[in-house]
This record gives sequence, C-alpha cells and structure tokens, in this order.
Amino acid sequence: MERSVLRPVWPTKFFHLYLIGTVTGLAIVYLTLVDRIGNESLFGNGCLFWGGCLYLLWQKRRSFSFGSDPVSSIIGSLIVTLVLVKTVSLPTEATLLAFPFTSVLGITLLASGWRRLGQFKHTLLILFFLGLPQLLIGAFLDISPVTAKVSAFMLWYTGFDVVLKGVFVYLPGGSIEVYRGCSGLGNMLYMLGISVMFSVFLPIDRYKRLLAICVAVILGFFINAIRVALLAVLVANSTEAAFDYWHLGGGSLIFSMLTVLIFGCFYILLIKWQTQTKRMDKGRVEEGSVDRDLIEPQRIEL
Amino acid sequence: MQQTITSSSNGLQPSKAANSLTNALSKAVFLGAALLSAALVVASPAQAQSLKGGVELSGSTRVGRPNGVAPSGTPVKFSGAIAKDGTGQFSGIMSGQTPKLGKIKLTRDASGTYSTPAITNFIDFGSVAFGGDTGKLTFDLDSSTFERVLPTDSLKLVSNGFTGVFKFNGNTVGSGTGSFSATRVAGTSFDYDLNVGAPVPEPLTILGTMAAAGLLGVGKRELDKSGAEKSDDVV
Repeated sequence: MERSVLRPVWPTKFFHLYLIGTVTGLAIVYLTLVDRIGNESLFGNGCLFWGGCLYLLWQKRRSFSFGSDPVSSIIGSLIVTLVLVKTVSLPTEATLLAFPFTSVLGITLLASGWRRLGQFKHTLLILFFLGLPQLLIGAFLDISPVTAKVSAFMLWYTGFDVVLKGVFVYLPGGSIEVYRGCSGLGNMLYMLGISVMFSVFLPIDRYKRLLAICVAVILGFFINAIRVALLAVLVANSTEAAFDYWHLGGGSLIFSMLTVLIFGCFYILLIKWQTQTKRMDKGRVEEGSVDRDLIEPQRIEL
Repeated sequence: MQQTITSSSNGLQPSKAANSLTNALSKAVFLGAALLSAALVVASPAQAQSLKGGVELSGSTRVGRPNGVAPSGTPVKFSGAIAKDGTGQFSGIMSGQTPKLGKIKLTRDASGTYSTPAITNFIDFGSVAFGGDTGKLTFDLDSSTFERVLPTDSLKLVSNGFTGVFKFNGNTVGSGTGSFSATRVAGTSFDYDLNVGAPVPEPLTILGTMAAAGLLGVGKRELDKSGAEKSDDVV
C-alpha cells in the first residue's frame, strides 16, 4: 500500500510573479496613455492607486491560491483582450477611467476564477475608485447649482453684496458661472477614492471608516465651494491673471492638497481615538478582574 | 492501493488534462498580455494627443430673412476677415492661420426652436503643427439648437451651447464645447462671436495625491506605534 499524497492542483511556486508582472505591465500601459493625453491629475492618482494595488499584491503574494475554471478563464481572457484592443486605438477618457478595474478584474479571473475573487477584493476596490465613480456618476450628475448656492451663501455670510441666479454668482464688479468642471463633484469623487485608500491601508472600526468616507466627500465639496467663492471675489476685485492662477494655475493645486491634509489629520485623529478607546477598555477589564479578586471572599478553613 | 487527494476549493477533482490545459491557457494569456502591454507602450499612441485651451473667433456674417418674425429657415453665412484670440495650445496653433467657417442652415421645428444638423469641418483651422506633426485641424459641429431673439431691429441668434470634436488629419484629438451669438448691425449684416475649445477641466489634484501618499505613511506609522490590534483587513 502506498502512502496518500496531498498534492495541489496548481503548481503555484512562481505563479504570483506572472500575476504581479502582468498587473505591472497594465499599470505601465495605463500611465503611459494617461501621460500622452496630458491628464496630470489622473496620472498622479494612477501612480498612487496602481502603486497601492501592486503593494497589496506583493504583500499577499504568498497567501494567494491560484486555479481558475474554464468559464472564468474565457471571461477573463475576453475582458483583457477587449481592454487592450480598446487602448490600441485612440483611448477616450471614458476608456481610461474604466481601464484599471476592468483589466485587473480580467487578470484576477484568469488567475483564480470567480470563486476565489474575494482574495483580491482590496485590490479591485482600490482600482474601482480610481476611475469608475467618475465614469458612472460624474457623467450624469451636475451639482453646479448647489455649489453656486453654497458659495453665494458663504459670500453673503461674510458680508458681500451677492446675487445668485442659477449657476451665476454676481458681485459688484464681476460675476462667475459655475461650470460642471468646477462644481466640486470631481473633487468629491477624488476624495472618495482617497478615503477608500486610507480605509484599506489604515484599517479602523467599520463605523469610523464610514464616518471618514462621509467626511472626505463633504470636505471635497466644501473646500471647492470656498474656492468658487474666492474666484468670485477675485473676478470682482482683481486681475484676470490672479483669477487664472487660482482657477487653473498653481493656486488650484493648493485646494486639493488642503482637502487631503485636513482629511489626513482627521483620519490620524480617528486612529488615535480608536487606540485610546481600546486602551481604556483594556484598562477597565484589567481593573475589573483585580476588583473581582479583591471582592471575592476568601475561604478560611478553621 | 494508490490514493491521490487533490486540494480543490469545491471538493471536486478536475481531470489532470483539464487542469493542465487551463493552467497552460492562463500562463499563455498572462505572458501574451504582458508582451502586448510592452508592445503597446513602445509602439502605440502617438495619436493619443489632446488639445487644451480654446479660441474666440469674431467678425461679420450674413443672416438670411432677418425681417421675418418666425421664418422656417435662417441661413448663416460667414465671409470677410475673422479676428481670432486663442488660449492654451490654440495660441500657438492659431498664429499665422486664417480659419474658415462653414455655412449654418438653421431650420425651425414645430415648437419654434431653430436647429442645425451636424456639420463636418465646420471650422477649418488650416494646416497647423501639433504633437510633433503637421496637418489639417478641423472642428466638426454636432447637431445644435439656437434661439432667435426678437425684435427684428436688434435681432439676435444665440446658440444654446454646442458640442463637437476636434480632428487632426481626420483623427479625433479632443471633444469641444462652445457658444455662438450674432447681433444684427444693419440689413442682413450681423456681428458674430464664436467661442470653441476644450471643456473647462477639473482643478489639478496632483499635490493632493502626493500629500495623500505622505499621510498614508504617517498613518501607518501611527497605527504601528499604537499597537492597535489588527483586524482581518490589515494589510
């Protein structure tokens, strides 16, 4: 009688290298295409999100179980082929927004099949928020009137003689029209992606995580509303060069950085809060056990 | 007696041949995708250039049937010198060029709205240097609606905002939006103002992204320092 042997279905020794190598290739294709269409914001986000995705894959490389089924392999192959074929011709921004999630979904289907897709949930989650919300929500929702209203309210509250008509904010000396591009929706979706990155890499309690995501989105909207109000003041009281600087020039960069910095500080406070709460709970438990020892009556044998 | 147990997630034991085939297929696709990726990076999208900025064109035009209250059609024909003012990439592109504008044939529908069908080569910017190449730059206008604002002595034609695409040597290089307005000067003579360009972009977020990367590092250190108990989600 021979001994029973446990043998894995897949020889997986170097399989993770195929996976990480292919995802790296896709990341390079994506960043090259984004660079060529000259979208600096998407390029920066792409570096961060693809970098995070590759880091996750590398960290978990030993724990992946590979082995796809024919149906998943065929679907995965079709998705990868479709995505790569779409990038051969002129890629539209919509294609580039869908590229990260769909391409890696195809690759993971090939690698592990849909049954084990859960092991890539964080990777896919990060790449989903790189572009798809912008594609799914950004194209259909226009919050310009709300942004104009909030900006006009801020101006009114700070003492400006402001008039609001739809998406137009009038001040004595000039007016602005809040376009879709300046409505802040992009900023909100950007902050949504950043908050998801934070919640994946810096895990905290579920409710605190939800709170952080909500705060990030609201911050994105309000900081942009402040920017719009500032632009209205500049139009009314300053030169066109100053307006251009704060609208599309170097000044506009400060607002996104400010939003992320405020959110980052808030998130670190949440981490500290969680740590402190856990320490206090631990302390209470320890005190409780000491008290029980003290209160417990001792049996004295006479 | 020989017994081989295979570890499979669903407890099924796929045949050796099927496993080998799927394994080989997956590896082939992985390698194929990696090679294709490398090839794409090297060879592809020189054509993936896009325009940034806009251009304002103004001059004189002739608008048909200006005295009618609600004529069924209103042709708009451009002639004469065109003043131009470009921003962004258009400032370089437009120097030394005289753009040509196509004719717009506005027709009135039952609701009283005037509209034009899509016009190919609506604006011909001429031969321009773009993305290291020289070729013909054009703007194709999508079907658009216009308003005809009375009274007739100060008749105005105003577009409700239009869209279209910029083409360089026949290849699309970007989408465009714009506006058009023409005001009556005398008779059929009108002064017009035509703005066309790439849509207003979102503000840049690259500094924010760099700040996020830094803060992620700070947060990770904070989390490690605090010795917080790690959940399943910990990376």
